Amino acid sequence: MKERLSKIKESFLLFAKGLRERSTSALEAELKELENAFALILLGALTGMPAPPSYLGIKLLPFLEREIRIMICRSESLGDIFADWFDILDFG
Amino acid sequence: MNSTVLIAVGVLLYVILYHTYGRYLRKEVVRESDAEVPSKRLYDGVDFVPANRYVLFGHHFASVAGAAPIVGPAIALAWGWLPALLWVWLGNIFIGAVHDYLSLMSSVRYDGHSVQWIAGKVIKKRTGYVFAWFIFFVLILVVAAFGAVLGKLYVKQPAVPTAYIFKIFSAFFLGYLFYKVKMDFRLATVIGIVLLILSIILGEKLPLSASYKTWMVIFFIYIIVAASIPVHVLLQPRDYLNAWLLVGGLVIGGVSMLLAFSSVKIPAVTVYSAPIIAGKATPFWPVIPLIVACGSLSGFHAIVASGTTSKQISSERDGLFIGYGGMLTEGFLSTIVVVAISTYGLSVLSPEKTALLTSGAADFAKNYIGAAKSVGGPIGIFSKSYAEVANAVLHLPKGFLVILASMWVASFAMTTLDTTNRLARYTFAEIFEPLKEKSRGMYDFLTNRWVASTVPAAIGIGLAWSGAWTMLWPAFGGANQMLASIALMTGAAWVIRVQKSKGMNVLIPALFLWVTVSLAMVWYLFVAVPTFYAKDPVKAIVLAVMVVIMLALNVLLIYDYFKPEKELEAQLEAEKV
Amino acid sequence: MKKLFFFLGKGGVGKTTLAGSFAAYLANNSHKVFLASIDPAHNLFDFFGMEPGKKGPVKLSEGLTVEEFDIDSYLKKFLKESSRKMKKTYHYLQMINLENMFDVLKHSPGMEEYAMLAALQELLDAWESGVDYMIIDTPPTGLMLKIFFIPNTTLLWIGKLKELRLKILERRSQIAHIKGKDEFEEGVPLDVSDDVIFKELQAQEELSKKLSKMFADTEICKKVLVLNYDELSIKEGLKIINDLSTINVSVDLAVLNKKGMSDAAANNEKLKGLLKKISGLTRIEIPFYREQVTPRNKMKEIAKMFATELL
Repeated sequence: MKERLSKIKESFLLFAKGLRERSTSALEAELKELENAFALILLGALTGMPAPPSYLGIKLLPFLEREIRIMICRSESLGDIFADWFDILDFG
Repeated sequence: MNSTVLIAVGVLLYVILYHTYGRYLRKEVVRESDAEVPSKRLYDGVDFVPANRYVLFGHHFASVAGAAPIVGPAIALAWGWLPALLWVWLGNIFIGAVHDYLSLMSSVRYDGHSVQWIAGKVIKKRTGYVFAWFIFFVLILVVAAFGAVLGKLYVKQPAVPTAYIFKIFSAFFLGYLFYKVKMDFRLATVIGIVLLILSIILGEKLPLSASYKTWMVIFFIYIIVAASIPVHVLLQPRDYLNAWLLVGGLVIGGVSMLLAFSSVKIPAVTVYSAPIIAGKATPFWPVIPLIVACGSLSGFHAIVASGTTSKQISSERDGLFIGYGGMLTEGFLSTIVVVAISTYGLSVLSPEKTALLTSGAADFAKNYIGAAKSVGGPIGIFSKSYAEVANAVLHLPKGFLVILASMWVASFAMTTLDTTNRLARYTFAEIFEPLKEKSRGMYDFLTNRWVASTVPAAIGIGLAWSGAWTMLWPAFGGANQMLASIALMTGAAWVIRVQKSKGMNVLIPALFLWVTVSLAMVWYLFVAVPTFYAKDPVKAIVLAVMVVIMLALNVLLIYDYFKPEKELEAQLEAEKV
Repeated sequence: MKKLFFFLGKGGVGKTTLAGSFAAYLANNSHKVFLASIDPAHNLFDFFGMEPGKKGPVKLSEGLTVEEFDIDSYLKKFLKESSRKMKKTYHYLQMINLENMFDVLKHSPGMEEYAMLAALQELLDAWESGVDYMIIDTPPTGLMLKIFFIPNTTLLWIGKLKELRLKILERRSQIAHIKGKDEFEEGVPLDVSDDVIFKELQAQEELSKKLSKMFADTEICKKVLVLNYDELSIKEGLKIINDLSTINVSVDLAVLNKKGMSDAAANNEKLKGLLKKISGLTRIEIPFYREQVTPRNKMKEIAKMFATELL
């Protein structure tokens, strides 16, 4: 019985988690794009952009791990991102 | 025939076949394994992040659920409840759910790439480009179809637009509470739900009557504006409220239907060729997939499945549950719609209309669409039937329920309208890619944000202006199913050429689908469009052009499928060794 | 009052000589002077007859300290420090061939100006209380103009970066509020108060504002434009005046150096026309000396001429 109850509790928690996602998924997508842009502006050279890295970019480099990671991931998946947006923007 | 029996049969069918046919698919076709999935192997904390299977199921389901699984079956009832249900059940189990499952799994095996990308790999390079064209047409036609259906609904049920407007403001306010004020999540949620309920009540009190054409203009403006506002202002909070509407609608509807125990009052089968599209005799086969899409088979599901879902799945073992199971669940939703209207549909109509429908199967077929129109089209007849059931079982006020159900469907449909606009911006860049080299100026102009936004909205609303949703809905269905065709062929190509496993289970439905949709579109072009031409020559020509292009691309698709590039074959051979 | 002097002009017009003379004169008149060259092609030590290549400030006399600022090593030092910081901070970002990347950076266009500006900033920051006057010998026109312009263009750019950064932080905190703080890894800032990057951007902005203000301040910052009696140098001088005026920086003194070097020039009508264009500026004319000008001879005469105008 206890196991049953805990399973039900778990499923409710998961359900709640899913709902929370529903209130942030587009925001998260937007955030990643903002971070990607920020890194690109300062350090686009890392992904092959012809612009040389800026002085400021190098200076801030130690603190931009997350942004750079996102930038590199984005640059790798750039060829096939369309499908993701059908989900994020909720076509259905 | 009893409603509960029907639902029970549906559920049983789904559950049994999920376990039997599903198991077969996992083992023999997909050859499911414990191989590391992209979310783990390619984990990057950005896009590739493993998710719990139940959360992912909910996420995936909410993404694919929309207005179409409700609208389609409501129209298909013209053929009687049996054909509609058979398609929702068997079409889903053997074609639709397979399509979703395979799109998901092939994407998982291809590092999370989209089915469009995979099509380019396993069929032919240009297949990915063909994909983009089908998406383009879907985007235009869905605006036309949803716009028209919503317009008719708003005219007949003026409480709904009011409720929706209040809902938008609730969304604005909820966004403000969530993101600016940063109110406690649960508290804000409660406020949001209360506001939703208030919107419905206010809708009832302050109906907004306007002409159909006025609504078309409003939709056009709405689409452009809503697609230009930052996502945290409207899109995100609205998405959230929609999730609650879905939950609420499903729970109330599901419970009511399960406990309804009432008898079905409409004919099981009417005539083979009921006059549905443009009033012409519409043969059940091949046209049914054009009418009932999402409940049974829908192309854009493949895109969603191969989008974020495949990048977040934690194990191949979850694939059947999420991909196949998700689609079956949507089928269940459509089942409920069919049964609800079958049992209570007649009681929401005026006595005159009811008389027209009860004087025999042929008469039913002849007058069903007209009767539905009298209460607001497919959404109208659904929401009213829904209200009858829920009122009968749960004793909630009918007026409230009608608006709730209508709002539920309308919310999803309205969301699609402006989402489509955003997606169109990207689609334009995809389809006009070849222009980039040849005519840069033209390319820049066409892919300009405002052009890419306005053109599909304008064409879509322009078509919807005619009000002929019986013409427009199948056009949208056709485009969507062409998409499904490509996806399913891609799945088949993957299974046969790459997996080298039992591909017939995929190829046969794929070919069947291809033949069906092609024939349906040909029928549409030669029978329905000319009728439309008499009323609206310009729009008919626009539709005709789109259909012709789609058919041509469809032929190209099958040709490319059977004659893969030599290099592609060699490459696949090399990869598999 | 403390004053900063910039000696500007085309290459070869005599900036180093004049700057050096002026510095020596002031030092001899009981002032404390710091003379620095940020021109990559220094000749400051040559002028004072010192061994070239000495790094860091060199005290020549009680009141005079001279430094040839080594931009190259400044840049190297900066990049090395950045590289060290990065290696310490990054966990799982694969940054292979780090040094190679930085080699490329060292030569990338645009870094020199920033390095020079940073060097200038360092100089100004290190302006000790004891020093009354700072004199800067500048690199040739193009580079120097860029340095003057950088603070302004940087301000716009930093403004946009700040905007973007704030948006990022806002989005993060909104998401964290709903999904919980664990949504983001440790060390990822959610608020302006813990964002090193925003602070850095603000610091850069402050710096740029400060520099921009200082350059435009006619009381504290005097700009001496050195010209020769020839078309090219005067034309370039005019360009300098024009360009600087767009950022509210004005030239305070024009020095026509090496007058009489070419007899032909004296009667050149075109030249006279050009000179008319700078007639509004205070002008000093310095004759051409056949012998080499060193700190010992002629300097007093030359420097005296400046002092009266500039102080």
